[in-house]
Amino acid sequence: MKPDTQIKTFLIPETIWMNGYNGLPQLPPLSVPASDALAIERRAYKKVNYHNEKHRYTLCCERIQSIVLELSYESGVLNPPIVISSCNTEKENNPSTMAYFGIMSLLNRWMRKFISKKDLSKLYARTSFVFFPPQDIVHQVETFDFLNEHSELNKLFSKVAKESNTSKKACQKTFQVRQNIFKAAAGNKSGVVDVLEFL
Amino acid sequence: MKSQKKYQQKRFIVPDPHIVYYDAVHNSPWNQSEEGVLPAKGDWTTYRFASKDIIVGVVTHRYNRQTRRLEVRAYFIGEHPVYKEFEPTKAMIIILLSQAYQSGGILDVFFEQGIPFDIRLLIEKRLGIIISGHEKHLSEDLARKLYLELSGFSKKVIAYVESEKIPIEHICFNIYRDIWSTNHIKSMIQRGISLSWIFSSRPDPYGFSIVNMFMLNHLRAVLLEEYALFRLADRKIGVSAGKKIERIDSQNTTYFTCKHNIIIPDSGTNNQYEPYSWVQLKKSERFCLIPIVPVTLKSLTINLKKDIQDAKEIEVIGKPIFILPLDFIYLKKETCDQYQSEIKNAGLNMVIVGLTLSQLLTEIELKLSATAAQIDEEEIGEFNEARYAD
Repeated sequence: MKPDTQIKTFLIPETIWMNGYNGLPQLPPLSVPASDALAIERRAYKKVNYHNEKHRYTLCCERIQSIVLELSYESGVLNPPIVISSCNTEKENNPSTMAYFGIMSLLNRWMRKFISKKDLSKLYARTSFVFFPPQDIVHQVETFDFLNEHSELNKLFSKVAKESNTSKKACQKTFQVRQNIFKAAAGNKSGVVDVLEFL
Repeated sequence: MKSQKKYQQKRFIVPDPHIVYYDAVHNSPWNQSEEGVLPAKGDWTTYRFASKDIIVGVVTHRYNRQTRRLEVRAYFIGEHPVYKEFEPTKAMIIILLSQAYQSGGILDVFFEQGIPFDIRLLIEKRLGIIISGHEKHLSEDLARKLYLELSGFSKKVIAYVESEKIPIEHICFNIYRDIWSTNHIKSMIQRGISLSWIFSSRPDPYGFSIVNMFMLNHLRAVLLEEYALFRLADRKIGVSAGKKIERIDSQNTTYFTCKHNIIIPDSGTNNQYEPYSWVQLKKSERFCLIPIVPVTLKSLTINLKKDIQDAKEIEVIGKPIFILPLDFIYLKKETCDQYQSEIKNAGLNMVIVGLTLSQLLTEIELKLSATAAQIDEEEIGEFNEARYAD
């Protein structure tokens, strides 16, 4: 049996992201592990490769995910997550995790290939990450708007559908869901965190 | 003409094991009676492989940088009646091919005295290919087929690996090297983990962290399964093997069976006692493993009902066994007790594995680095020979 995997996307209000939640003082604010992880990303971008850096980055991301889940279980301050359905969902036109992974894996490569350097420098490159701090969401929305209007996007969906064994419609819907999540987050001044769960 | 005839006569060697053994020891730069030196890279080196006090084989070999192949000068096999037929030959050829792959990245072996009889017989038996007694070179193509045949992978797995465009010998090498196991590979395929992430290029943890985390969590589950099997096999200290557990993969299901009763904790021997695990399996009873990889410890209790429901659904295939990481014991006692009682009430089994999620992650990172070390062609020969010295 292939276990199901689903992506739960949580919108985290900026105040909780920056200061934590008073009702659960044992949980640190998300900004703490997030700033550590962002520092590691910056070092990686500059090709400064400290020992065990990848491992520490994974631990930071996992910590962010566990804090968000605990907040969602206990505080009641978070809205219910937006769930991208599991791999095993047979309804082929629904957004799915495989379509999401496929889109994300091709997006970076595709952006380099089809988008001019001038445009690329304006775009926000953090597309396939686990967490998105509130201050960066606006850039994320801009990037998705730009991609949405790009003439080559349809080709990308066809390619993803072929490679990830999903349908083009599923890819389009997954992309739209993702875009709407960022728009909603920008409207509420929230950060975004994706949590992977096995079922 | 005369000299040529003489030369030909000289080259004809009767493979007497005693002479081969003497030759093996004689050609080694390692000398125990005086102050010896360890063989340098590219030197003729003699290895003796033994299982407890029974010699499996002795071989003298070196890696030739010019020809990029492993050369074998002396070869001696210990066909002891305690072993199954061809088992020492199988072990020795796997060692030689793995050595060739580690040193040069290709499976190419040259036997100075001709391919030994037992290896030729093994090839004939397994692959149906008859090799002349005068043949000295075990070609890459043939060696690859043999390496693959001895790995015991099913045709389905081989086809999957080939569709992913990964050299199958690379996967076999990492299995023989004990980085991954056959069960790991099968479970990875079943869970939809692309083998190219493990054996070719890992998803970038920074640029593509969501997929990286997907892979890591599934690998945690894969390792949990394997550790649970170790616990169930219950190998005693000083004993070569525990209870043999067989894995059966069908279309979309996997289950395990064992020809012995599996009882944890065993009250008769006070064996494997700890208060968190219990398993009651009769002889040849089918069972399924359900590894639980929670994002946070609270997820355990929150998802419990759903997990039990899922487990009940697969009861038709085999008795479900929950596998939990060691983190479980750090839950509050009441939560622990409640969790256990709900599983017990549902008539399910549960096993705790002796590693926490964090320790599992560390182990995965080590395994991934060790696998990646062999991928980089520049590192073959320079880096690996020193780091993983035989």
